[in-house]
Amino acid sequence: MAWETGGKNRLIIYTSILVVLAVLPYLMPSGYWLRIYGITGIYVMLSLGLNVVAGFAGLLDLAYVAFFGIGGYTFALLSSAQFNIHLPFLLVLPLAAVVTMGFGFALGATSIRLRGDYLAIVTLAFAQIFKLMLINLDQPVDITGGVNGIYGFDAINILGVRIVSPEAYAYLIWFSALVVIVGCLRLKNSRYGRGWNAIREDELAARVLGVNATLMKLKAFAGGAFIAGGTGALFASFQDSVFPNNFDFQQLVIIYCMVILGGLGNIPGIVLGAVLLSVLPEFLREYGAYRMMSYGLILILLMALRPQGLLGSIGILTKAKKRPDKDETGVLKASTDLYYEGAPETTSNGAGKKKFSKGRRVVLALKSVAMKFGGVTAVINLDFNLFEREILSIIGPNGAGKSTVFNLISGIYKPIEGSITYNGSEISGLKPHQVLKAGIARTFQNLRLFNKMTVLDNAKVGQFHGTRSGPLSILFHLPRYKREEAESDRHAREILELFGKRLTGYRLDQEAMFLSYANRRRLEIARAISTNARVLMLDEPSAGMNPQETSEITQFIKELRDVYGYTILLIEHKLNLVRTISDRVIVLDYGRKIAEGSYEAVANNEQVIEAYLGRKAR
Amino acid sequence: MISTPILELVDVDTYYGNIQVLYGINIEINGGELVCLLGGNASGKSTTLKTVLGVCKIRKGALKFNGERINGESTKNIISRGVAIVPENRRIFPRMTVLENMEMGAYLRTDREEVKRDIERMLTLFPALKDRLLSLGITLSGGEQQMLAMVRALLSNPSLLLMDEPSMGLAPILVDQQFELIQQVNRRGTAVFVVEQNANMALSIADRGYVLQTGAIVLADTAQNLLNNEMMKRAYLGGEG
Repeated sequence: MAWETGGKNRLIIYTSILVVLAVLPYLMPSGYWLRIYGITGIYVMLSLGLNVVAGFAGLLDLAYVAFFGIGGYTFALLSSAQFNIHLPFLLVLPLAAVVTMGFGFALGATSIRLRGDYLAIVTLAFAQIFKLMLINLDQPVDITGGVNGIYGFDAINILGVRIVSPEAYAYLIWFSALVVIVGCLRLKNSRYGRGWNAIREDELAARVLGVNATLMKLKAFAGGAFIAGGTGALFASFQDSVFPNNFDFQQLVIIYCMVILGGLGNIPGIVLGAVLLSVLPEFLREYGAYRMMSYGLILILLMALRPQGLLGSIGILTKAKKRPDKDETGVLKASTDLYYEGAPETTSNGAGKKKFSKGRRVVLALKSVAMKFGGVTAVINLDFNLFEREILSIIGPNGAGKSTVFNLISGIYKPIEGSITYNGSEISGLKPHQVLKAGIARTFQNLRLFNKMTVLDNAKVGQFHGTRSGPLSILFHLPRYKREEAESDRHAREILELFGKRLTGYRLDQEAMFLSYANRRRLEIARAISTNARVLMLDEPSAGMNPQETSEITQFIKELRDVYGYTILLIEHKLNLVRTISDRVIVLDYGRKIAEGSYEAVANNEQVIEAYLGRKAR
Repeated sequence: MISTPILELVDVDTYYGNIQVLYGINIEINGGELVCLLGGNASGKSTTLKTVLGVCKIRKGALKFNGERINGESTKNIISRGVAIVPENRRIFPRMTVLENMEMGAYLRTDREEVKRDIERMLTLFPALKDRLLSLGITLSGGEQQMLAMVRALLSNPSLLLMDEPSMGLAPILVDQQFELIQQVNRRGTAVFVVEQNANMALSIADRGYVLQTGAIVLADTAQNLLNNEMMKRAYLGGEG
């Protein structure tokens, strides 16, 4: 395993980080700088928390600063003379984080279905309301202390150690920051990280691969709030006071700047961004208000020079990879050259062993299914059965409703009439991730890969619905998490190997966007297979492939059924492919089924020739 | 008749960032000709089109339109010189009516009356679109979308029409129709440059063809010779009909 071989290096890195953190507080030139040092740690945590929501899950959450405030005020109310509640810090810290997380859940549950700008507006309103409440809740009963805030908190006492001196705070804050950094790193590489990443890249594709997007977004919201809440408590204690102005919009902008500067989702980058933006403006302090302009200036410069963030794709940080498809001079070899070198690679060891053929049991049944968009009828009165281990092709003119049928089955649309049953139980009306879980996976006509995720991670997303590790298993690397990760990894590699060397080797760690077109098509299929579904719906698997690639993919699809026993529903325009592998063919035209039967029967049907085949094609 | 070619690419190199994509490409298209560019995935076909349109800038070599060097000109300028494109997957505006889609094709023209007459003329050429003028683009069938994309391109009065993968993702009957449309347009005097994967189909209507492999032209010949070329048969023509 990779982490074991890297164990020694890891130990060295950890030790040196600890040594640096132990020494740094004593290297600060003045008490003022020691304070900056502490604040920097706070910002590191804050920006990492925001990164969970905005970076990992891609949600434009402008209420984040309010969560920071909720944590701060929770601490203030529970450890001060305000209500004479004096709880110990070790209880208040988690309490502040959990209370804030509760608020995160509540706000998330009401607004998470909104996207992009709309989510931003609602969350911004929440942040503004929060600040107004802080200012105005000093009467009739004084809760927040109004504009004067709350101050004079109990000294932190951790198991007898009192945290009072600036050095002690520096240690406490940076130790917490370290915990947050490690936690975020672990999250990023877990099924949660992959799930969020997938949602951010392409939410629809994530849903049909079994990721419960709504729930995962909610968890991102809550996770960000948890970190913000805990950080808020630390901040309140560090400052020994809380004011509404600590949690205003300007603060939010600063945190966003740090995250964007570091690069969304890039943890080392964000730590660096937070440090830079905390420290640099201090040198400009004498210029007063102009100091704030530096934030804007830095951001503009960065967006012009490094739009992917400070540490995004820097050469030294990404390992140089061997590219067997390039020659010595770095020139790309032709895909056709690769193809003609040696024997075909794709056909796996199981080739030729035909074990399965069409069965008699109906797996998937559509009965009088209809779908309309506005006034346009897309599918009308559609009936068909899909038998176990059958290869059934749907053909028909463009706009005949073929893709709509896939969208209906996979739960992207809900039919306005009729029923769709899978193994006897109704699946129309289920959410896409539930349909996937039931056992039906699909690919998309216009490739919807997670482009910025690696090939391996793309395949692993398919495992999301089958794994159970929660946040605790992930953060503490409990045995269950390790077992599931190893299993996902093994399974994903196994599936990718079905395509010969096309998707394995150095390509495993390549981002999907760098694959050739044909390989991206293959990866879409691999990703669908890796979900453990038994029914595969393939939407034009050979689109954009040349004749060799087409005959290769034809063979592969046939093998999926013959050797591995998958049931396959296929949309395809290339008649050679359809003719070679279909048990039966259905023809759609204007949303109606106009013919059904063997390829030969359908191809000779007058109506089909008229609507679809034309005179030449046969 | 000896005339300057309508479009000429001379020893063209094109890069994406630091990655070279096209290597010394030479292509020439004469007025009224139908020329196709063939090649596998990632061979640089689309990049060649983007280079012609000025979307990708030329690093070395010359791009000439009617003998005039137009390296580095903006896409808008190149279009206004008389180049039009039918993009991959047609890309008609789904939420605009058929008429509005057509008017978008004449976006750069100022002769309004003439545009109106041209639309009339197009409708006699493609009568199927006549009844659908006020329908939204999204409601058109595949075949109608295809015609609309073609009309939209022609309404800019191009002397050169570029077509990016016209047969991609189309039903067989529409593939036939598509290539018939291309021929029809070509017969009216517009030079057409077709980029295609479906080599058989493209060569069956083209006058000449170029074959692109990893960014370099490896074959250039008349369509007839290419159809009989052994290497072509092996690599591109295959069995697909």
